[in-house]
Amino acid sequence: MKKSIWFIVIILTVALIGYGIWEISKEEEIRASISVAEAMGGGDEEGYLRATGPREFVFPDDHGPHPGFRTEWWYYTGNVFTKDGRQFGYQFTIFRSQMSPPDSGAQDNAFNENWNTNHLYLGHFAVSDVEAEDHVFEERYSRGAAGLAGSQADPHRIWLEDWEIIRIETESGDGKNFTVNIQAEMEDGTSINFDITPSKPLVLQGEEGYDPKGSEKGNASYYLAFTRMQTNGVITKDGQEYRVSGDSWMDHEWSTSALDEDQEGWDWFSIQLSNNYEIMYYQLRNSDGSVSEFTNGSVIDPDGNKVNFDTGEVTLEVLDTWKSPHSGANYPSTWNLSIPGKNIDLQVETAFPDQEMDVSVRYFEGVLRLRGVMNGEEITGNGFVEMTGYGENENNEVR
Amino acid sequence: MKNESHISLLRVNKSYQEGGNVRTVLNDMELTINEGEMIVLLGRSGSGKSTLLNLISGIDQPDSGQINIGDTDLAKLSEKERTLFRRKNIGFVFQSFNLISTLTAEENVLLPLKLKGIEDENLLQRAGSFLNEVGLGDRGDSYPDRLSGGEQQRVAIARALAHEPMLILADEPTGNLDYETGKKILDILNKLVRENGRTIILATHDRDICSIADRVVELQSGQLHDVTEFEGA
Amino acid sequence: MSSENKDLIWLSSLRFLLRHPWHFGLSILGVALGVAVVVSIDLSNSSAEKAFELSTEAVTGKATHQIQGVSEDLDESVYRSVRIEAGIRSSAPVIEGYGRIQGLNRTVQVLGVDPIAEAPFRDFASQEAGIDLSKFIGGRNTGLISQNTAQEMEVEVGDTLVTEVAGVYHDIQLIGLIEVENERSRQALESILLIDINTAQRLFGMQGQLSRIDLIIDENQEGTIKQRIESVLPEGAAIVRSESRTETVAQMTRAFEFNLQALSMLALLVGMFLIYNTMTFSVVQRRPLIGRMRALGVSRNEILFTILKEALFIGFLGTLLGIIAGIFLAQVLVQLVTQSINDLYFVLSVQQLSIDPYSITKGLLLGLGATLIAAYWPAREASKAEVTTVLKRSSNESKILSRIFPLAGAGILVGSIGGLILLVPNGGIAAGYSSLLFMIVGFSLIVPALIVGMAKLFRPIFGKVNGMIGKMAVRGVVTELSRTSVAIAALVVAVAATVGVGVMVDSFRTTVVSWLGSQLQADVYIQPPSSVARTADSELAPDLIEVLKATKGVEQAGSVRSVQIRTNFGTDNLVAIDHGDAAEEAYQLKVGENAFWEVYDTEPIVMISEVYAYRKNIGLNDTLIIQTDAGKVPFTIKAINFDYASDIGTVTMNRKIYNRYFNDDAISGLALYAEEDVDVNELVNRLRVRADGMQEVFIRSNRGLREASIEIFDRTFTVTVVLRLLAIIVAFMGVLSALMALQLERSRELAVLRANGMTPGQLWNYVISQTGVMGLMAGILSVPLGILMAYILVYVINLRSFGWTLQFMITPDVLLQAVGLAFIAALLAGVYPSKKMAEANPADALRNE
Repeated sequence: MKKSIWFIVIILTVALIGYGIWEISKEEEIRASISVAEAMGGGDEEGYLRATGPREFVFPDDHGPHPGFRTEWWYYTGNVFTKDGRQFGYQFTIFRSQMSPPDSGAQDNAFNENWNTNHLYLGHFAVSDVEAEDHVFEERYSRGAAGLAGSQADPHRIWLEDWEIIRIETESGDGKNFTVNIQAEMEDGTSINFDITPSKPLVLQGEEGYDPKGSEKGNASYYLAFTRMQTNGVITKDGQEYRVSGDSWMDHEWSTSALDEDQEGWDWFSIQLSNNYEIMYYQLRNSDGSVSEFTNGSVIDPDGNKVNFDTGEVTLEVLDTWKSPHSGANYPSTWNLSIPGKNIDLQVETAFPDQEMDVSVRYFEGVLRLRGVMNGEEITGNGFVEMTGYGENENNEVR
Repeated sequence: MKNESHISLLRVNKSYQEGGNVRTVLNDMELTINEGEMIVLLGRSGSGKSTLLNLISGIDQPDSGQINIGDTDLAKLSEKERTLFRRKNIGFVFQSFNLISTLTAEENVLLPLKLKGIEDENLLQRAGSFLNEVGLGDRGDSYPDRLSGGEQQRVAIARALAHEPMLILADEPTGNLDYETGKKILDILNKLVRENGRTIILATHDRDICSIADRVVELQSGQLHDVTEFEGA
Repeated sequence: MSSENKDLIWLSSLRFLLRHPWHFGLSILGVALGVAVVVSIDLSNSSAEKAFELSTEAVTGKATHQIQGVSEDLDESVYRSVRIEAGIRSSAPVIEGYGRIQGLNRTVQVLGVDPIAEAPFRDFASQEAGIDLSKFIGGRNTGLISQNTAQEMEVEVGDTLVTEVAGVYHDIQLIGLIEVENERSRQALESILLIDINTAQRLFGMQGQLSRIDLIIDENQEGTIKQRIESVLPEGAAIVRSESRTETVAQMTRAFEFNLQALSMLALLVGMFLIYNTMTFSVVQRRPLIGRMRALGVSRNEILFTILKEALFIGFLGTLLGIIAGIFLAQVLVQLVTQSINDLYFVLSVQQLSIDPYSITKGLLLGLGATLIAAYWPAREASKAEVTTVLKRSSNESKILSRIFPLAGAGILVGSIGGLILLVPNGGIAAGYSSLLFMIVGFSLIVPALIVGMAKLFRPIFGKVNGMIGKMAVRGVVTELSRTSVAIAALVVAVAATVGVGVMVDSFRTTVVSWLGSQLQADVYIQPPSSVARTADSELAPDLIEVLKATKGVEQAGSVRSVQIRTNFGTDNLVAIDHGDAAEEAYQLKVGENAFWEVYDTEPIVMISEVYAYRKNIGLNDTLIIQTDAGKVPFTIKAINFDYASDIGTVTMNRKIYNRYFNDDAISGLALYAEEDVDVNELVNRLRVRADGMQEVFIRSNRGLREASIEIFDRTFTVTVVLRLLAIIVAFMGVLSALMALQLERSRELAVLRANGMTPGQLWNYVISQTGVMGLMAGILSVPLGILMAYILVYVINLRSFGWTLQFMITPDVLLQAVGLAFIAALLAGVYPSKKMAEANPADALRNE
């Protein structure tokens, strides 16, 4: 009888093993990834439009998109306060990225309802809760087609799904200078709904709006900005709604350019002073850590007049840094900014340390607090700093 | 356990239905056998010898009566119990188809030992020694179809004795053998049985065999009678 | 060598089996074949199911629900509404269809997606997987295939894939490869062509449309989210669970697969006869031996278990062999099965067999189980063998002869039970097959009695034909009844199955052919190539339609539009016809007044096929609610027609009515009527010339279409031919085995005959005649059983599986073929044993023992 027991045991074992294998193989999900041969990478900049020199701007058209240029963004930052003085900073940017040159044979539908398009839209939305020292952010993509995302000049509307910048008709508004409403919400419920109206005229940054970034011809952008904009609305964070008001800053740039070989990133400051002046200053940084010769700065007076200043006329000294726990990068966190020619000497610092944007491209975008002296007066101010290209190199020698 | 009557059959009746008739084979039959006796059961084919053997071995059951072997009355046992009794206590030598053709000589002798359930490391040795006794110690690995008729019967005898049964039944053991071989077989049987003190009932129609027996009985009209006179061949 | 542990009884059994290699071998083979057939069909079915599962999974991804439009398509604006207005971010647009890539031997599933939305659904299609968006979205035709498929086609990134969709060719540039991470993924993605939505809209002519929108809805929030979505959906669009859609499709093949499985069991059933035969033989041969062993004190149960163990041993070896053979056989059968599924139901490609342990285990259990069941009776007989101290020479023949009437009685009882099973309401297909099984077994039990009866008739006839030997031959069948009846029964069952299935197929074919004859009234039929042969799921290009209609020689044109619709019963097929007066002649109504034709172009009424009526259990004057572009509309069923083109069911309505409720101008197929005196073949050629360079379409004459349809039909039944053949082979082995046994058992008797002066030639004659008689009897008996089987197949099983009314068609040649087949099989089986018997040396047999 023993033999029969063996029979049964063998059969059961086989069955069990088989079943086990079956079960295991069922668990596997369908998983795959894409490989694209290197050969497919084409030239990056052939065929696109380039900024080669100053030009005439027409509005409202030039507030809208400029297809043909590879990259474009509408960038809004601002510091808003509740009645009690609680401060929130926000950043809302929509990028337009053109995936292939205009004459490549691909169809170009910036605002057609079809799915065909050359444009990819990217959105960055971040809120800095200064009191809680909390920084939340979200990134979104969409193709610029089928009404999912897009940009148009008339009426001015830039949108990415339900994130939207849209012109609001007001009595005083015109094609160049108008009120927009910005609405955006994150997955976790954080949202903004602001009406933003420029307090000062449009500023053409750089050389009448033409802003070179690198040594190569064509490595430049067209750069328009509103440096101070009255902002009112509602910000929702952690389930709480706050009525706020404050000032925003808008940058609109478009270009087909890339960093030079030896450039690794930039630091960019937008500052709104308590005496109704604004300062914009950016500096590109070289891979070796030194500051590039390509910098740009401007001071805007209460009437909206802009005066440029260049490298020699400004000193930016890093006083302290912050190391990001997410990326390990060492970002500057405190500076001394002095523009002797304008009698400006400022102590600038980030309102709280961690305002790093951990999205597809890593960068720092944070609220600034500052105080200092201008023309003998004691002044304070708020602003934003954007720092890119950190974290790549081990030794980040900062000046 | 020396019993007065090792084997006793009391008032045993057995009849068969054949077509429309009833044939009575055993009629109030009685028989007692002592331990160690060799009984020869005489009778022609069809006289009821086989029936009697079947009853004594428990293969069949009487219509009435007792069949006592040792302490056990076979008539009262179930078929399964009789089968088990048989395997432990009875050894058989048949006329033909004696050996299992698909087992070797040694394995044939081994069989009753295994059936009896004897757990002994020396089983093989025991089987071997019995084969030796019948003079076939060196033919243990041979299959029956390689053995002559006489050799086969010898193996059968070894098998019948191997598990030391209470009783041995031999049904025409020399029936298929020639005279010379038959005689040899009887000698071996006689010797081994006597040596080991076994009780044996030998059924045959050959009167010459009677000479080796302690007693000779004959079935007539369903009853057993002692036979005292017989002639040699 | 510790023989201490030898199980002597088992050892003796084993050696007995090995000493009769023919029987041993044939039985193993018989079981092996039976198991092989069952396993191969099982594996084919499960491979097809798995391939279907995988391909569906690849396409469905992690979507829990899908938004579907009214019929085929969904307006793309719905996606915007859902994603932006309703704020449902776990949503993705999908366009799905079929195409063929030149250089690839199978149909591919073309999947159009928006990679940006894909991450939660199908990670291989997501932008995060690395698709080069600028090339994918950019407006040219670009796509991706799996790395393995690219290797198979020997193409590289950058090459052009010439892809045909609905008859139009497109160049698609390969811009990347999908690399799979496990075997399952490899199988799932091997037939996928991944393209962007914009490319898909271009390929399928679906500008402004989507096939569906995939959703992932958390079950805890299902209610609220669905509400949010439904508030922005247009009329007619609905949210369905992705599972139920898959299940609906999978359901289609259930009946088909079940029937295949049942047929496969037939071979196993015949194999069981073989086992029974062998075990009986081995028992009878050892009867005296068993008697002696019982005398030595081996108990009844020990004998029973020993015989069962022997059977199990044979069964085990046979099953193992069968499983291996089954796997090989499955490689062939899976192609046939897949082809049929492709022809009839949906696109499926099985590139490799999936050997699932469940099928193997099932085969193992069936093989062992069948063996044990078949061996049980002989084992029981053996254990009851007479214990004897005396050589008894008579065999057990007297036993069976005395038992033929009780056996026949039992047979009639069993057969009647089989009949009663049919009366069980809602018994379904399973009841149909059980009843069939009972009838087969019942009939087999009556066979011995019938043989005895037939022998009485045959004897004088054979006597005239073959003299004394003829008479002896016939008589011999009866005297060895226990042996011959089993062999004959096996042959009867196998041949009857051939008859039964053959009659069913003939009936079916005849019905279909005559139906086609009246259904096809036009002269030329045009449709674009469709991915499933039986459905017309593509559209004809409008300009092509104009060109064709305007061709010289065309008098009139009719059209059909074939779409999927949603009804209160689920998803169904709708055909909108525009045939004019010809319609009334073409469609054969089962039920319904001719009044239907009078108003079917003005009133919202429909005609349903009888299969549809059967499956949904609805009838005349019932209401069918169809989801249309104008909302849910009730249609009254005013006619039921015969339709053999689909086993799923079709709803038919007039094109005018269709246009009233559906926003759809397309045409799926065109039917042209030639002017008088126009040669149809010339017209076809002319049409082909004019269509050249436009959409690729099938332009077939009436006759051509008929032939093509019948070809598909025949293809579907190829599997049954294979199965029937295998059953016959098993029966053949059964007869061979029986005859070998006979030879052994009668060697003595035949030796006596030879010793008495019979020449080898005469002996040969005797044996061959006997086998011939057996074959003839089997053939004759197979006819009534076969017709009974056919009857059940046609009127019960087919009806319960599909709902078709078939004309029962028995042609004399089927019956003659059956008798002939049995006769020849038996004769062939008899050759070797006869030879052996004739050549045997009488002296050997006459020697004792």
